[in-house]
Amino acid sequence: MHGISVISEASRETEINEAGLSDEAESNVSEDVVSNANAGGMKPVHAGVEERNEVSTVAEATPLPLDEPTDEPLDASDRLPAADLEVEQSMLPLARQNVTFEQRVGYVVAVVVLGGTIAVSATILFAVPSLWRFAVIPGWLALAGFMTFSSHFWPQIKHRHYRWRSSDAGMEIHRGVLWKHRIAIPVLRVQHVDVSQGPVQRLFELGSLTIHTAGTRNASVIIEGLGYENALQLRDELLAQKETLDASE
Amino acid sequence: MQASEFEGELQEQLVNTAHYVSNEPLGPLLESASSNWDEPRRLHYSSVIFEAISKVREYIFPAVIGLFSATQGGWGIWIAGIVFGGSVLATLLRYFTLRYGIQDGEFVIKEGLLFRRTRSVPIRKIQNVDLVQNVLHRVFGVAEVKVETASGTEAEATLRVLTKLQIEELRAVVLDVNADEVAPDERLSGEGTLPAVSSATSLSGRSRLLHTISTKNLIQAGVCSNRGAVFIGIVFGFFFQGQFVEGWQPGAGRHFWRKYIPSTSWLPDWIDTSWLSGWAGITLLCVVLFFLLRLLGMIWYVHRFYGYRLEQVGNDFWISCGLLTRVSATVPRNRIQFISVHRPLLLRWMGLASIRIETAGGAGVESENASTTVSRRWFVPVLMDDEVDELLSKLRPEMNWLESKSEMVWHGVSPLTEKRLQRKAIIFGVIATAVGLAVMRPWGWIAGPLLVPILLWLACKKSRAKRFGRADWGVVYQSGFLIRKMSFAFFDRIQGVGIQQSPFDRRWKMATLQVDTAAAGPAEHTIDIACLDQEFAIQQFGEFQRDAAKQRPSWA
Repeated sequence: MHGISVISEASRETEINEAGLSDEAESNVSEDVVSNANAGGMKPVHAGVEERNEVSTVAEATPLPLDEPTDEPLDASDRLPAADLEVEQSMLPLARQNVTFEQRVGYVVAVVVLGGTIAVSATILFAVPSLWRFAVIPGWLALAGFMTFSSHFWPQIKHRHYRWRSSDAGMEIHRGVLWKHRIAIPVLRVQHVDVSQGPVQRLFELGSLTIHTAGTRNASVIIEGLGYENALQLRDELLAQKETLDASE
Repeated sequence: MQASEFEGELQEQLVNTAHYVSNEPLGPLLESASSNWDEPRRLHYSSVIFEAISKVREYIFPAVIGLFSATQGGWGIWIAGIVFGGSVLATLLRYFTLRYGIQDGEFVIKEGLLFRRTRSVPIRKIQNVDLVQNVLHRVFGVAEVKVETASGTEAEATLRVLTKLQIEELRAVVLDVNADEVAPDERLSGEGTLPAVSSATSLSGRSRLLHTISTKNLIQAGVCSNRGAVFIGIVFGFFFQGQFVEGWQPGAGRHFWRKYIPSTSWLPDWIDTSWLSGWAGITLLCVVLFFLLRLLGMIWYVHRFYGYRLEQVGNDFWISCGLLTRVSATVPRNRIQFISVHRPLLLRWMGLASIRIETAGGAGVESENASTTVSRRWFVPVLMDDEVDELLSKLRPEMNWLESKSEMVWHGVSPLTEKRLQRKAIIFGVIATAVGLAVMRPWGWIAGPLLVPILLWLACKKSRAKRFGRADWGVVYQSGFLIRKMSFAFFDRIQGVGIQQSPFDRRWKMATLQVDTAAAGPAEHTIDIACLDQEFAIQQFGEFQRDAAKQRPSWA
């Protein structure tokens, strides 16, 4: 099996963001580290975007739980029991630059929508010869507020509520801000894995990992916003893992 | 591996392989057949007729339009003629050029004159050889054959039509190869050769009858079903045409009577005068429709499933049934993804149930045909309640349901569920009242308060009906009060596990546990265990995940 070294943007960011949390990822994360991370780690850190180029150099140190020669597969009983569906801080977040990417895309959409709405409604309203026509301005402001929220803040919030983990038990994803969702795909159920990258994603060195299963609802599980290199590595590891498991027994 | 087990017990239940049309034993038929596949086979000559019929069905609309414009003196008749002529030519061409056969363990179909098309399917990949035989087919002693593999949503090949002998030949080969796979010790000969005759004799010995359905049970099931609803809808649409509805007032009953009963001299006078007569008419209509619905359901069930037989041959289940149109379908056991036992209220009262299954691959819901309908949606359309457990343990022996049923530890939903559902019922009642008041005055509001007690009662029943149990082989989930469904998913078939929580769930500290299987269609029951206590759900999520990861996915 490949040495598991899915340590590129995502986990590096974890280091920066969350007080070196991923260094401890292999030993069971002690509670105080989690609380540290909770306390200080959640603020957006902008350093990550500038240091994007050094990605490959970081990719050696901390092995993931996968590398440990454990007898038992890592599973729920090894973890701290969670009382609710908030994300587990011991899991990996998406690439930091994904937030920037989503924000930039959001800004463009916001400008187009806002500009378009204002232009159209203004043209119509110039025909209205009453002061009432200015009543639309609060509407514009509300729209602007909403667009600001959805383009600037929402990606950050979303990022905070997204975690993934690849272990012997398979792939696990926790996501969702209001509607919370967890998905677990055992390695042996993975049919094939795709990595894709859109043109704008390429600028940010982002990629999407799609895991296909034979299931119905979760026939394809997409992790959008991983670092591209990271996604490629993860794909190789998943397939290698599957191959080893298939060969055994 | 199943063969010895079968032969040991239930000798009297051994049946000959008369799986689809007749009760003639297969052996002599096959001996007369040439069992070598060097010569490619042709379709039966009546294929031309059936192919033409299906073509006519396809072109019926253009043809009607063409004929219509022909009556107007246009050149539509020529178009219609060309279309028809073309399709007849295509039909003939298909009949004369199509050859099928078996070469090097592959099922091969060749067709076409200018554009030759060759399709080959490895026999090992074939999982079903399904037949449909309608009345006209029976006249010629032939049937339509669908060869299906696990992949894809459509049949790999449709052979329209083959004779009984040809079909049995084909089936024997497929079964033989697949039997070789499950029982290598029973391998009859070396690679390459496929001795049809010897396998056929062992085949008839391997078949075991699992279930038949009496006509009485079919009628009962038909009475309980709402299958006639479609026809009733048509009747209603027809009936409410015209001014019956437009002129409808509570006092306008006489319109109804006068319209549909020509001579009303025998009717009492108040029919014309009293407002009661209108309501009497409506009531009568409803009663008539109700009985019609039941009758149609009955007819549908009897027509579809008359003479139902479920047999086990090796590792396959064979189903055959039908009164006018006979259907014969196979379901390989290791393709079964999901088993669901349905017990609607009426059926429950009669002590009956039905079993549906999901298989991997094969047709989806949207492309259902007669044979898939039978083999998946209506795996066992009706059976006695006390036979369910035994049959289930035959469908999936590893499950050992007869024993594990009593050992099963059932987990209920969160204790808050009842309260939550009741609150939902009350909110719904309030909304219904408000809407009713707004839409229809002065009595529109009355529906809401009337509904609330019923909804509360249902909420209570529903939350109590919901439970699940976990064994080392899989999960059992039961839910529903009006239609009680009990479904079985197996860890080696579970594709993924999920957990979901909406903001409303969060308020009640609940979550939904989801299990994803390869097919979720005809059984109409997905394992979405809602309203679990969130902490418990998270714990179960972890354990499901672990158990599913431990088991290798097993499908052929």
